[in-house]
Amino acid sequence: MDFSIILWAFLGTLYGLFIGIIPSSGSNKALILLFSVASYFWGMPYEFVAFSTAAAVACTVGDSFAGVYIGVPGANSAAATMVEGFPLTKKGRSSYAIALAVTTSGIQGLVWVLPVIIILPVYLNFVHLLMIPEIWCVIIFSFLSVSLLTSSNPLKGFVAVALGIGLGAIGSDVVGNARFVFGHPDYFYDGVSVVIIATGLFCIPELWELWKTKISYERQSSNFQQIKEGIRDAFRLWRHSFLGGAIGFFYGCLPGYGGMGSEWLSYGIATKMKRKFDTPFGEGAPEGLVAPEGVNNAGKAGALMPTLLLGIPGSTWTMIIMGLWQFVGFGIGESYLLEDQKFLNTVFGSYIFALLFTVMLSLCLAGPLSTILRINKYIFIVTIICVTWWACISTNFYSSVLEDTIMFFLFSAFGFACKYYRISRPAILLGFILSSKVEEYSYQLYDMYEFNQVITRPFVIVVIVLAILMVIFSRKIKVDYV
Amino acid sequence: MFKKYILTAFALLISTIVVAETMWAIIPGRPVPGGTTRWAWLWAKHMNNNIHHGSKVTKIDFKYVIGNRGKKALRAFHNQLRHDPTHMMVSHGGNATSTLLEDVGGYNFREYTPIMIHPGNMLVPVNKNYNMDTDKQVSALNNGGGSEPDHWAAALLVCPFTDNMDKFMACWDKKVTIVRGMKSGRQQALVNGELSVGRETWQHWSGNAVYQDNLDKVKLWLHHCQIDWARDSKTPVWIDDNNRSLKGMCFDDVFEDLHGRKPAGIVYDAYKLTVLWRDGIQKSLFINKNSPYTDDMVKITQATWDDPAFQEERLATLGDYDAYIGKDAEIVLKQVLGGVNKEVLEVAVRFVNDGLGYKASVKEELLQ
Repeated sequence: MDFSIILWAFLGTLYGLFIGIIPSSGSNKALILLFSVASYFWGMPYEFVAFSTAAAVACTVGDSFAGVYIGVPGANSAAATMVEGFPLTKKGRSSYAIALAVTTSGIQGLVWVLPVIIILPVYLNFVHLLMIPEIWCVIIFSFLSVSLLTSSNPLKGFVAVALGIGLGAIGSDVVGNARFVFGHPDYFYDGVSVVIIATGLFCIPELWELWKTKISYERQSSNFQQIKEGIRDAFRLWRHSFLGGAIGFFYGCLPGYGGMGSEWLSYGIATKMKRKFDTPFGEGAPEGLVAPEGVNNAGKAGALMPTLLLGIPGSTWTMIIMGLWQFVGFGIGESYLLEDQKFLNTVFGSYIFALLFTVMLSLCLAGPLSTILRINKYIFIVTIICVTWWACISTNFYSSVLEDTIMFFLFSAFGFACKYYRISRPAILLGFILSSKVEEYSYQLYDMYEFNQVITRPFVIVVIVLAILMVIFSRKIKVDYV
Repeated sequence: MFKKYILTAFALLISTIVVAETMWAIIPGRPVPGGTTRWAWLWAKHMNNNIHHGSKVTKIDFKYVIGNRGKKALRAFHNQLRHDPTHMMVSHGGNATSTLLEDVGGYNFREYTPIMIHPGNMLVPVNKNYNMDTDKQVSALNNGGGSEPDHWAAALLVCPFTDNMDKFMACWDKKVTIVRGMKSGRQQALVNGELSVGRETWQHWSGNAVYQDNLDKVKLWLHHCQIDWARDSKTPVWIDDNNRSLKGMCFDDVFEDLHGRKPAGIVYDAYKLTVLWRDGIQKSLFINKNSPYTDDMVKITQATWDDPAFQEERLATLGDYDAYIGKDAEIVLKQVLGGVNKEVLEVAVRFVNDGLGYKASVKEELLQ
């Protein structure tokens, strides 16, 4: 890797860790904010890939801080960590909890990125086997998985996907004729910007949650004896940790779904496993902390698989990062990108660098880093609103400030409505991101294949079987991950 | 005395700041390494090294106007930016056919001065298993603009009704399938045999591993010929491509080999009209008429063309296509604009509307 790539990965790590530590923030928000500066990276797209990848990874590790120290999860994924982490802090063992969480997340992140690194070059040799019917099937499968697995009511899930596809249809059809432009072809022809949709769905409603959350911070300092114990126990509990990693990776790999709630699944299984400690669950059980922490970065690694291989995002953060990378010129999902060794080295190099650096930083400076939690939440909220608005107008080069601002408010209200009515926002964003792709592939399928040619293909049969299994399995889901 | 020198130097500095300008080249798209952006970056890099002493132009830089498949940039330049003399328009072949066939908000090459026109050529590769007699010809349509000549040429080989549009369209409906919405993956689809024909630039054909690793499955079928611009005749004279690897694949020769006659007639003329616009103005740099910077820009462009460092990089990355600068560019533009007549344009518009499926119309301003 070039020095400049390492430098930007370093900066991305610091940025991601900073945002991640702030309560109710997470990698989605950290990535959305990057749209405001993306245009400055047009001359150096690889550096931007390094920066954004490192930010997403570091943010995930940083998420644990708020959960452990103040009992407020950094992002939804850290909620399970909080259940065991915060009681440990109340017992005066915060450094132990952080060390345990961070080490587990780091190790599993490293272990589960290896299959991705190994599989990608192998896949290149088989890329010719994936033809139009196969890719179309995977897209439909991703819609199915996000509809069924993020919502207790499948109908609501399908409605969410349809809403997203409808939003994505705004602009122009597959041959370039204007469509749904509401009398403003200049503004709508290129469709609604992904940053406006992502901000509206995932940023503003979460800030409102933060506004309502009561935060009380107590000064924390690093206890190196506890940190040593935490690292040691992270290795001792390798079964729980590996279980979390495996679950995170598997669900991360599912196109579209992104493994929402897999932390709780891992936590639930951990409570049934043979134990090494006597502390009851809910009162600071190390097993209960390790299991969900193993999930988060392994899930990130898994989500990179469908994203890079097929251009079908594996989770919400990959949907946003896809938008960012496409903004600086990388056609995610196109096979030429997998031949771009520099791109792959940058993604995985910065992923590994960020993981190692964040873990080291968190272990050495857990106490001082926790002072970030003291940031006045109101100042933070106002700053984020301003920067996201800036991101919305800057991606159009300030050429449609009024229109972008109206859309920013409109989609923020839409995001609130979806959260209130418990309509799956990841499903909407996935539908939106894949809208043009599903339309294009449907046309291609229709123009080039007969039904019999599609249904008899082995890959298609496998996907149909998986889909049936998922429908059966999803009937047990009683929670909405909206 | 010393004070006088200081004052003189200061006055010179101020006058330089007032007169000297950065010239802004408007690019119709994002600053990512696509064909037009790569072209513009290469030229600008060397142009900035070839700014002559005393030039009012001190630097060439870029502004990117994104949207509407480049049409937003055309509109912005025509209606607003061209009135600022420091702005120039980088235009590509897709913009040219859009200007020929679609509504582009008044953008009209007649109203600007060409600093330089850099024509090009496109190639049509074919899957080796494609059987013209038994298989339907399947080709991918990107979302509008710029690919018309490639679809047309490939179809004319299987539907050789070069003088009758009704017969050609009837044959088109029977023998050609246009796959809509294939933005990416068409190279792999061609290798897989899902598509029977494709479209590429010379550099993308020769530098793309998907093709070069699969030469047992795909081959070049034809290119559109080049125009012998130097002749300054009213009717364009089509010649073979300069690039050695493309010799003998000119559409007219391939057609003659297949059908035993030279292509001729109104359908052929309409096809050639789209080639003339798309490849004739494949890459270009325009400025508003009477801009005070035109002469300097022409001089800088010529110096760049004469620069061996530029030539070496150009031949390696853009292919062997000559650029026409200043007065020569005006001759080329005259030939391109002069190639339009109502009857032929109507046939081209019909092909786009009925064959490719996006909206085109006959624009009266092009018939003046």
